[in-house]
Amino acid sequence: MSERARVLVVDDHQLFRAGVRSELEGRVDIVGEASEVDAAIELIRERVPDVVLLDVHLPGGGGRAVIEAVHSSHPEIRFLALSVSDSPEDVIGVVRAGARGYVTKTVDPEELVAAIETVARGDAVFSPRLAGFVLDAFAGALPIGEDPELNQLTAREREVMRLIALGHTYKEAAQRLDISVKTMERHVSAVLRKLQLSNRHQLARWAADRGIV
Amino acid sequence: MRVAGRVTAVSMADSKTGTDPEIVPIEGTLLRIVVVFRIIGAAWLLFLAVAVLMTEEPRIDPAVRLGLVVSVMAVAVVGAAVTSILARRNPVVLCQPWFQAIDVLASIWVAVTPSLVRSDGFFAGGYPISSAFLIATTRGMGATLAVAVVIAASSVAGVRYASARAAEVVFINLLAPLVVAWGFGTIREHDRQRREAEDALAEERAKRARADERAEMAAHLHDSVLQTLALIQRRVPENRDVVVLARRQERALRAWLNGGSPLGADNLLTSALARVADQIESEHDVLVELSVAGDTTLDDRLEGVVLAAREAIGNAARFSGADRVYVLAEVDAERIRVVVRDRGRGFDPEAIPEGRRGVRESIVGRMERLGGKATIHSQPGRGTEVDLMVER
Repeated sequence: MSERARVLVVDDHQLFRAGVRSELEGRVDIVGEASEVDAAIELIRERVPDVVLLDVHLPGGGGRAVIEAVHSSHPEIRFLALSVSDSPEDVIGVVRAGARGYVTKTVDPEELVAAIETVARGDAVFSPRLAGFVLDAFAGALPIGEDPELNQLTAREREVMRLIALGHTYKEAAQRLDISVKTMERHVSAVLRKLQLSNRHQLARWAADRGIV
Repeated sequence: MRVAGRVTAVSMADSKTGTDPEIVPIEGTLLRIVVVFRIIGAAWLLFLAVAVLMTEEPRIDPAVRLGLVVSVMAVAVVGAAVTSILARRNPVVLCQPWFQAIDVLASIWVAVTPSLVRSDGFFAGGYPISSAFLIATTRGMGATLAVAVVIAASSVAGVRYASARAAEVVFINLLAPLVVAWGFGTIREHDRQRREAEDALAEERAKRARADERAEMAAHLHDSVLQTLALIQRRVPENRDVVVLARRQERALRAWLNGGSPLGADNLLTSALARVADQIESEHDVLVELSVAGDTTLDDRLEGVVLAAREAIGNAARFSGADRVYVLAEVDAERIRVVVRDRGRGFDPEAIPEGRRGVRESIVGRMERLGGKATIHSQPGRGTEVDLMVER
């Protein structure tokens, strides 16, 4: 097995950080903790971890602000978003900013370690809930003239998202679709890329429609 | 400039508390002008008094003349000095009725006394009118007119023997303070309106800031509660009752935060499925992971689909042995599809016991009656997937 992933935890809830630390102890190297945006940015630049476990909701601008500040100078650092609030536009916002995946805070420790390792490898991690949000975001017909290459999921990608939303692991989904896990991961990465690059105004409108305010 | 600055600073602090007329920056500058005017008046008076004493033959007892002239000089010098110091140190005193009353009396003394000397070269000049200016800058037109009349009358009495012309004295003493009072009344009114507008704006800003603060506080509070609920679910997974309770509260709070009523009392497919998920979680030992892509309002057919889904989720909760049930609902232009999946023990769909009416009647039968279709994929040990679909 390769060496353990170096992980930095950014979450404003001390109790949660402590919980994550005790669960991940011995499985990954926790190289630091931060509880707000500016401190997190500074610490990430100083420690350069493999993976940042990032709370979507943070005082001082949210997880998105952290990614946006670090991403351009340290593209090699991967972000895995975590949250409890799960408002779809926040989650999609963080992913669009550059997070490689998203899991809910109720994820069990095994799954969390697996997700960290997947993200550390550069692959994408989609929780069932994120897959649901993605299907929701890409639902509906495309207006004519938009770039379908980026602004629409292929039938296969849609199927992959469906299977993940229904709780299939990558391996189970790959078996079901009769493809390799590698191909499966490629599909998920393609969806992630579309999510990040799509200029589909439906995606923006979708987020606006769901705005809390 | 320095004087004006101080006047402003001091008066702004004091004016909030007292009932005195407020001194605003413009009035601070004005008081300074009044004071300068008074100092010039006093200096002129001093010069004149000395000239009279040195050059004129006394027409009354020289000792009395000396006493009167010196008293006028003293009042003018003390008046100018006190006003000047107060304007620097404590301008609010200049606005006090008692100070202004004493000031007017002193000016009357300065105006009237020269006539007692019976000199034709000695008169009060510009000093007394500075009292009227002081009133004009701090009181209204009425008070100014009253004081101006008194000062004008005193000044006319004071120039009885002097070479100055009574008509000019009356004209200047009445008109100048009234013009000043009118000008400052206008400026003050303008200023008051501006400040009212500014206050209203500040009030509005403060209100908005308070609202923002409350919203932020609420968001933080909700986030904290959600964090705690998540933590409970992580820390006590062996106690399913607690997990389900925490999960249910989390779902209710989140639904409310997302803008719906708690668990969506509205008429949307999403809300109906969320209510079903919540109910089954609270009745059974299971978590329901619900995803919805697209949404639509419920009609009779869709309510039937929700009931079929509810049966499928309930079956998964009761019989599968899995701790999670996944539900994905998709709405698009052509069809509505709800898939319910568990990773539990599964069964052979060909061999559904007669007693399990749920599957035959409530799911397959119901979907057929709705003009839709229910497909059940299951194998012993491989979980169950129920696929419900209706064309729109």
